[in-house]
Amino acid sequence: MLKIEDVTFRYEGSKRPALSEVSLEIDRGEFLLIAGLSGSGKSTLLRLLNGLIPHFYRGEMKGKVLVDGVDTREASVAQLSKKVGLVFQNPDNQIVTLRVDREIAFGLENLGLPRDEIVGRIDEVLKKLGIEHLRKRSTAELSGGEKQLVAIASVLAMKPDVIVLDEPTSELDPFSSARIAKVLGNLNREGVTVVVAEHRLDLFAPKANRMIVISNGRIVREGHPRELLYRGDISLHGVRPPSVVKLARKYGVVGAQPLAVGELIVALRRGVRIDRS
Amino acid sequence: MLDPMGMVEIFRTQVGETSYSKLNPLTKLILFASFIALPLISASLLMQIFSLMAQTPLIILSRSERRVKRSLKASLLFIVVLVVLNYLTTHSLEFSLAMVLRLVSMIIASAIFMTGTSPAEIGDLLTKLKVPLQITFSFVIALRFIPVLADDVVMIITSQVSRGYELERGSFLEKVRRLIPILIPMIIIAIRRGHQLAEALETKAFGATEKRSNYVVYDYGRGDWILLVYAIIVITVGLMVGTLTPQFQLLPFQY
Ligand SMILES: Nc1ncnc2c1ncn2[C@@H]1O[C@H](COP(=O)(O)OP(=O)(O)O)[C@@H](O)[C@H]1O
Ligand SMILES: [Mg+2]
Repeated sequence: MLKIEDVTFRYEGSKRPALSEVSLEIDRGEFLLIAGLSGSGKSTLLRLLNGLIPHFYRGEMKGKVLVDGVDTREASVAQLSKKVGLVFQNPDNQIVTLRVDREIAFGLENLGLPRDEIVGRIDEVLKKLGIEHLRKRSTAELSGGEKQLVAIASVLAMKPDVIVLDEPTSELDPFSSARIAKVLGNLNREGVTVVVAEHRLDLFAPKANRMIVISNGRIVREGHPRELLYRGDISLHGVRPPSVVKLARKYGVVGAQPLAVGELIVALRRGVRIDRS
Repeated sequence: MLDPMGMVEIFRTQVGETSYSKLNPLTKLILFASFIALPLISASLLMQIFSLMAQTPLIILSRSERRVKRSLKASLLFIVVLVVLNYLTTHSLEFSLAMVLRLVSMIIASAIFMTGTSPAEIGDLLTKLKVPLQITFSFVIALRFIPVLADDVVMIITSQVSRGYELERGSFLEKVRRLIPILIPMIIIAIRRGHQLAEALETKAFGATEKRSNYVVYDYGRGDWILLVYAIIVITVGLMVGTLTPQFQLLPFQY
């Protein structure tokens, strides 16, 4: 569905490439978690997926990116927006209208969809994310978490095959962050492909079926989150495993490879090795 | 005695919907334009009194009676001063009264329009009047970012002050110079926000098609038709009132 083939990208004006020889394939229905230190190249990788690179960011790009078999260089960001939706880190900088329903309508109006279709899609996404009560609210009055949910809703309304999120919780409080993780988990269960770059591994690792670690513009680890967090030493690349993993190590229940607190408790109660990988 | 907040009370945002705010924005614009034009038809006192009276239905529909009353009360002293000053230069009490009433009348008309029309409606209105999308969109986005940038300013000031920076110090020039450590981060933040906004717009296919559709549509209800007819009547009567000769001598430079 998404295919990055041996891509190296250097931003105009910088000496080092932000990504080097990256290859990655993302299948339909996956929940891919991308971890890595700040500046490791996570955002750059995500910008490749919807064509912001090379269309919006100037630089030197080698290799190619295929979305549904279409080379991103041959399609516009607008065309790609129907396939890959991108949600950014700061909700304030991606909300462009003054009312929630208008915000969700915005992308659809840009695509020129008929009004009935727009109304239907607004109903649908508001319901899906459980934020029907926000419909007529002013976007300026929303909390950070609500703003991010609205940003996600406005991207989902465009019905992309893949929703890509760049550190969606980094500006949010723990409660809202957990809510975003839960919403994404539900969407994924309903069949939406999710790609998310995040630092909050404790929230997102339990939802993901695959995880990659990026360091200095290269993919240095790839596998199931349980596998990566329990076997490899990812802290070498600056990624700190969630505290559940540390506790599991401390109490000797590593075999069960718990990622969520619930799993840890079950593992501790049983006190036996359950290998789930 | 002086109550500056009371004077601007009339411009305070109306909470909740009123019969007026629910009108088609185009109707509101036409009414607004009519009531700005009406007092300008002639300078006679009669004309100004008629303009004021004719606005009564709008004041009621927009539930602004109390705000109008409070503002007038708070501005009474100011109004008297204006009339007196005007009289001292023109030596015509009637003319002075007329000019001040004209001002009041136009302020009421603007206040009703501004407090009963949301910025988003004004954006839609501009689009409908075939103003290019880039311009109407800039207008809406500017309003959208005012609270965001205001928060940024507060944050910058707080962090500079908490590091011991003194804003209010020295002469006027010194004070201006002291704004620089507030302005520089502000500009950097605004540029960064602008860049990310452009990225988000790109992702949402902004400007991708010529045939942009509209989610919000306004229809014309009974109230709209009634008020449009009312506007026509008022302007017609106004034009008739305007043909009556003023009761006072106009000063040669006035008109
Ligand atoms: N617009 C840009 N122009 C130039 N260099 C950039 C730009 N964006 C990111 N970079 C550089 O590319 C590298 C990777 O950055 P980024 O993809 O933003 O990492 P992350 O999202 O993991 O923090 C960094 O060295 C960063 O300085
Ligand atoms: Mg980033």
